[in-house]
Amino acid sequence: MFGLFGSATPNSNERYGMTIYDDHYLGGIEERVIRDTETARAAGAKVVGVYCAFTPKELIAAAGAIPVALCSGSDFPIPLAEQHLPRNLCALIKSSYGHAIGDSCPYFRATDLLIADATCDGKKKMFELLGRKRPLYLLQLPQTSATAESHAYWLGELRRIKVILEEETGTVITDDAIRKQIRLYNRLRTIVHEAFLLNTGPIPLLSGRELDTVTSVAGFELNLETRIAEITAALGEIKERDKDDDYIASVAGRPRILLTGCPTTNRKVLHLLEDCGGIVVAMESCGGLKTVGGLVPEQGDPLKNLAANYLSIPCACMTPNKARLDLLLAIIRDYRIDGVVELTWDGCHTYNVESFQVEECVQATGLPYLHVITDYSENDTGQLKTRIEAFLELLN
Amino acid sequence: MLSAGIDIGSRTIECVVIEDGAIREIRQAPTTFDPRGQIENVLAGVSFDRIMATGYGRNLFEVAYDAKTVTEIKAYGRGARHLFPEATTILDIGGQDSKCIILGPGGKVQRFEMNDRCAAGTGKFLEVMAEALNFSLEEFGPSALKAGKVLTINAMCTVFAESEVTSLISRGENREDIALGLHLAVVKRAAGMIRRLWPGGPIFFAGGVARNSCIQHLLEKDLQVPVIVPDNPQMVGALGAALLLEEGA
Repeated sequence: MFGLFGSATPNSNERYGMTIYDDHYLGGIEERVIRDTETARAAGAKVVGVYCAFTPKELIAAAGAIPVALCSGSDFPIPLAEQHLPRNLCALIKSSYGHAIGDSCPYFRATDLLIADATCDGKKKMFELLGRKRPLYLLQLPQTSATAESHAYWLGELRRIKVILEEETGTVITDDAIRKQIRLYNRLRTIVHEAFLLNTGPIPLLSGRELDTVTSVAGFELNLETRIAEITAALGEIKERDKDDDYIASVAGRPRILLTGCPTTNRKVLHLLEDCGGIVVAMESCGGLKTVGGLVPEQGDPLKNLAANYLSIPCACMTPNKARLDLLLAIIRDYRIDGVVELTWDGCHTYNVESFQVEECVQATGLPYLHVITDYSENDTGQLKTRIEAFLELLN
Repeated sequence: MLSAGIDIGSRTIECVVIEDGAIREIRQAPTTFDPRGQIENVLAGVSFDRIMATGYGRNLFEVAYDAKTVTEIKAYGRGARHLFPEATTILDIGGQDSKCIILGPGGKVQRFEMNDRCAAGTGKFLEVMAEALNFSLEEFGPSALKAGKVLTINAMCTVFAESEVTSLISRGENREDIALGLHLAVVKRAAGMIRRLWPGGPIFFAGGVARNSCIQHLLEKDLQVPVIVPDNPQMVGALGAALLLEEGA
């Protein structure tokens, strides 16, 4: 299931499929998370659902609560969501909402309250409806990180949400508790970033599927010490791949792709890119290099440090968002990229509009760029396969 | 040595056999609901030493015949360059896809654009509209060229366009004028796709829709350059695949 390139190369799948993570570890993750949340709730802890990357999980954890990420990638809850939401809204928002109202997400079911962030228009209006299902507190995200005023405003929002968390959990959030969580989450960011950095050399050591497993699937793990230990163990084995001729042969000649754009919540494009003969060596999206690259300073006022770090995430809901272009250029250089693929969900205005500038930026480097606009359904697989194969042909 | 290329499209299947770059045999059949059976019919009695597949059914073919495959984009690029060595901009409008391909130095594909899942402005669109106006596909283009006035059709979605056509008919508009409006809508979309990538120069027009003389004429008028249609515009992909195979690509 978590093979290097899926069905396209069955041998490498068999051979390397499970080295990244123990099958037992990943296979049982949902069951374990649900059991752990139930145990924690029985002991009086609150489970807090979060959506976008701007919500500092450190603050939730510092209140002794458990943050759980809830953005969804499956197609099936969408018809239910469309009873309340317009059809031409992005699949990520509809899927997340459909899961919540249809009670089909075990992680959502485990939550006591939600902390969301006012990112794009679709999400913030969906959150108004979602608040009927769970107590929902919205962080009012400024639309820019470029001014001192917006930073001051954002710090105020974190202070406000801190008080709410204290009231909800009955726990006073001390600076020391936040600092402790900052150190822990920095360790997590560092090790995830280290996994990405293994792809900067001439032989990429992880496939995009594996990076996705590190950032997304394993992201449900509640115990960060366990998660860090699992990644560390996996990386130890992965580092040996550059001495393995079979492994080297399996990645040789595959064009190195940078995947950017909307969150890769649904994997159909990621999988097509690798099934058609590419290797996604870097992902700029949420959970990927957009969010793991920068560490929160561990000295000084912890809340200010959190505010500054999180507001600087180069999401397309921010304007201007030049930091994203700078990040893309750095990745293109550091990861020896052959081609850039931008994946945007149909109906995501911010990323779809920003794609024009991304294309200009990529083309100025001389690299080919492919923009894929799609949703979570499978009905365009034929067209997508032709476009992606033709793009890979162009890189060879 | 005989090299064959087979292009399994959404509407038709073409097979071209070449030897040292010269065409030896050409076959064609509709794809229908049974592409496997139709592939067998197309290949029946055709002799070749090796074969490469392109088009939507390429993977079906790859599995059944253990053959190499190539995308339509690369195949059309190669075929176009063979038939018209100066070609840099290629427009291919087929049954359910429209593509614009830009060739760089040496004929390598440099950039391309392709419609997404929606078949707006493709052969399928024209086919449904011809039927709505009771034209055969062959007479649709020439009839549109006889129009007396220009009507604007706004909808590009086949379903929406059909209801727009219905309301034009009920308004008493004549069917040649409506036909021209529909052709203009297709051309507007195709020209927009070309302009996004176009380095200038003539357009090489291939695929089934290239057989429609009205589309060719309107494209020339819109882009103000020659739009070159080869004798057999549906064979370009199969020819390209055969050439790529012969060249060992």
